[in-house]
Amino acid sequence: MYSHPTYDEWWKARNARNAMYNIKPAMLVVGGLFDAEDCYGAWNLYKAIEKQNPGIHNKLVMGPWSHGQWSGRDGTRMGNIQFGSNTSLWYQNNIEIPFFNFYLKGKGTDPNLSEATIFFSGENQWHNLNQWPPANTSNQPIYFQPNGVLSWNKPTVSKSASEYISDPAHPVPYTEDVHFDRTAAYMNDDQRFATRRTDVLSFQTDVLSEDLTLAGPVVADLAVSITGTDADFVVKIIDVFPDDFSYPGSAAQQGRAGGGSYPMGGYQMLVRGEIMRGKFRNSFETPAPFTPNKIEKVKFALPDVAHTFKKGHRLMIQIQSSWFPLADRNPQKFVNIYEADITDFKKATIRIHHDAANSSNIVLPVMK
Amino acid sequence: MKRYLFCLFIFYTTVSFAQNANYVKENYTKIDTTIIMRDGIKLYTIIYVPKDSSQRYPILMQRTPYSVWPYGSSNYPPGIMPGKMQEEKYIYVKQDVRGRHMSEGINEEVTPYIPNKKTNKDVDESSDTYDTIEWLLKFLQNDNGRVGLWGISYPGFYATASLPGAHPAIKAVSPQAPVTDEFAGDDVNHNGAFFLLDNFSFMEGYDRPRQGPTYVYKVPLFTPTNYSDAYKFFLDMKTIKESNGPKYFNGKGKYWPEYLANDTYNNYWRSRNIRQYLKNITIPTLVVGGWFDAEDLFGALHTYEAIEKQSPSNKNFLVMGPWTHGAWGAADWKEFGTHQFGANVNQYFQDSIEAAFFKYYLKDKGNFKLSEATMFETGTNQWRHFDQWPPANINAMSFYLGPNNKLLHNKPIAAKSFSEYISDPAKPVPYTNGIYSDRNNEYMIEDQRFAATRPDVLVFQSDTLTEDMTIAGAIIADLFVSITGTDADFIVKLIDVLPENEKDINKQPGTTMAGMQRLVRAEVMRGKFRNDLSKPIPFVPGKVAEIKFTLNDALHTFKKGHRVMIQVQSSWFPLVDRNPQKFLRIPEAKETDYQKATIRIHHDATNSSNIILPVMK
Repeated sequence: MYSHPTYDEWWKARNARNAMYNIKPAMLVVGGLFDAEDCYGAWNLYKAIEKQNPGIHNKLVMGPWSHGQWSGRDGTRMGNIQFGSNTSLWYQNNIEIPFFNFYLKGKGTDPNLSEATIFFSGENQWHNLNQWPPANTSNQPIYFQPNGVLSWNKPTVSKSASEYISDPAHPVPYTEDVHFDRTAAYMNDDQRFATRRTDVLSFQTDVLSEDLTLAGPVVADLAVSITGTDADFVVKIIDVFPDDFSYPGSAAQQGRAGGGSYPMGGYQMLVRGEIMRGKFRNSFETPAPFTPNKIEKVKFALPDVAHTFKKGHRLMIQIQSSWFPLADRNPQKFVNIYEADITDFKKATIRIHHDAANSSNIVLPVMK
Repeated sequence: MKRYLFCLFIFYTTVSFAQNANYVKENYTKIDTTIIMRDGIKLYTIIYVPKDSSQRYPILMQRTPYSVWPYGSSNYPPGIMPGKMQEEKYIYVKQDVRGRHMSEGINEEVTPYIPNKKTNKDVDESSDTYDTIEWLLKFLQNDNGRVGLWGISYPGFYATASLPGAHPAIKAVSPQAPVTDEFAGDDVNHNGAFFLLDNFSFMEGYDRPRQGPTYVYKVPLFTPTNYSDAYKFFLDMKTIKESNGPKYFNGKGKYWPEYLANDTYNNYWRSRNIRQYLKNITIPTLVVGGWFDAEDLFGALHTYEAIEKQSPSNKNFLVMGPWTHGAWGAADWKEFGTHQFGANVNQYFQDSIEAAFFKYYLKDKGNFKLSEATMFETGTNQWRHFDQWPPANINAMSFYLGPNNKLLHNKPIAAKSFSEYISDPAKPVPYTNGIYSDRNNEYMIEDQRFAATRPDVLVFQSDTLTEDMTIAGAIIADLFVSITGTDADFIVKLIDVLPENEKDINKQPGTTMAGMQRLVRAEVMRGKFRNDLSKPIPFVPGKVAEIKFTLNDALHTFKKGHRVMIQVQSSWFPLVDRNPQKFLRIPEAKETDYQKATIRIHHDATNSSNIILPVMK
């Protein structure tokens, strides 16, 4: 791995999608919306098979799960987030068992699975869809504005940016508290610990007056300038719960030490987070340095989302330049990071521009 | 309001009352009465007289602003006193202080003592206590002529306040976590920094108006708050001024506007510093406090110290245990957070110290051979006994802040060296990890790793200790700083870093013991008060200034294999309000006055920031 720091032949040979031609078996691709390991894989394997094998039996199931949670007994919740029903048992009984019974044992009738059986977190409902992403979505950019505002309107000011200092000696943690292993729940954890930091930018909408459903990949389209020659960009899509939110039947809210359930009022639920190592912004094969202080575009796709931001909630986007130790630290200097010395790691100022010419935005797959 | 109710709730649910719910009714006669003071004001008083009239009893009195509940002669409480105290039998007296609940008159914040009373209009807590005792001694049939006073927190202040100009019948007093100096170190301010979270939530209930005597304060001053995330609530409040605006106190409360109006150590606060009047006391005193008391740790330590210095021949005892505010009243106290004490420390305190003290001085019963200072040593979790506090065998050792996060024994030699951070009032450093509506009671022993990961917190750490190191007494921070603004706060935290192989004792979030950075002691200094709490002065941007201040005492052993860590930061929110980092009257600051600033902590040969620890030989 250390000898292959770019997307070279070694990695390309290992991209399983390249072999997904002339598929004969009935395919059932299953994944978790909150799978810390292979969320990308489930969405994109399905898409590759679909594209490269038109007309075959290729079905997609995505539930609100951590890695492999669909094979367990409890699919009622992941981390602090509840799903309203036992989604894993439902999947096993209604999809997995009938699928194998029919295709391997000839038992039962054709389960007639929908093309895509997708659980939408937020509204906590399964949707049976005849394509993924669904046809009735449109890509709508939502723009960063000064003072932490997120708006459907493009900014009109001539010069405006938000900035922070990214210090590799104090990287932004990917999760709260102290853990030895990577937590499963970081994928939908409360991001308030990050909001409070000086090196995390938060932009949020007004309180939503109606439900907002996202279905499909999210594209971050950032206009950035940095004082170094490389930097990471972590984009987080967050559902901000109302201040008075609580799950039915939960104990009184009083912190963790108080023995109550987690305080869900004002919860900042991570819906999707993804990182782009800046030097790969134009190409994974050919990394390129940044010119310090020059405004450049960093555009990348986050794995697909299936989530409803309910009326009364807010949509928040956070930007930060480290996600530690989930992702290694970027020295913020254009080097082969695997070869970087301790002295290569430098503080840098990161600017996210939000003016008329450089309108950083997030393209959301809004479902009607 | 939340905290006010919470305090009462804690008292009535955790205090170890007798098993039998009818114990009080079966053993005491309850008398509700009013007692007239020298100025004509009547104070509501409840007297519990033991039914066994075969002997005479001393009076044990508590005066409180939190209600003598329950009112009415036929309404009995589940208990009167913790532990074995109520079985010991005293004539228990509880009184609503002047201006609170069912007592007449006007309540003053920590009522100033009047040394030279001239007329019957010159009244204070000393005179109210005096007049109450005069009346009781005449009214009661089977008292033994002796009176004791005790109380925790605000009632602790009222116990202290009985000492100057004391009635001659007072023979024993136990101020426990006594409110003592609300500008220097208790409740309202520490070194001039305003304790926003606790005081706002407390005053939301306590500062409600009343139209004459009342059981409960029903009418809120403003629409009651209902927030689950105090950090966000107080950040959204934007300024201190807004707390006194139309949505909240709106200038209508009594205490809250007084707090905001008195933002230096002026006559308002000076006259309320009871310490200056604790001279020539001849009444035995048992001062009690908790090492983890977020409210009145300063008060316990400094009430003891003031009596000791100004009344050197007095029988004056100090007990400091591993307690939060008033936790010594609970039935059981074997552990707190990740601290485990090995035994129920409260039973020892209640039976062998508190009960024995009053029994000896009020009843001439038993032996009372308590050491001058009975102190619980954290880190090793054991009681230690000292014949003076702080102990004599102390070596004041400087630990120097150095480059590369080092805490060093040797003074730095570099000509120029500093560490710096940007302090942004829009993103203040939280005082605790996680989401809380009320103050997290465990913040004083919390793992500080959540803070160490921030870019606006400096960390200095010693090498691994090769032998145990015990500190006993006050800790001094001596910082050399330069700032780009004209004011800033400085929070210094003394931390015990546990070894990487430390085993977990439970699996609650935030309790991973390996490498835990467990807080031992922390304090804030509002920079403009660095030379004098009475005379705030601005900083000159970029110019090095010395900030030297004292952190409250600790008795703690850093064990072999541990490390000593110091963290420095410039906010502690919302425990403490934000410093705008601009020299002005903070209660008047506008939103636009709050500005980012760069803070430098110098560690060169001339400006050698250091922490002085009282290391036991």
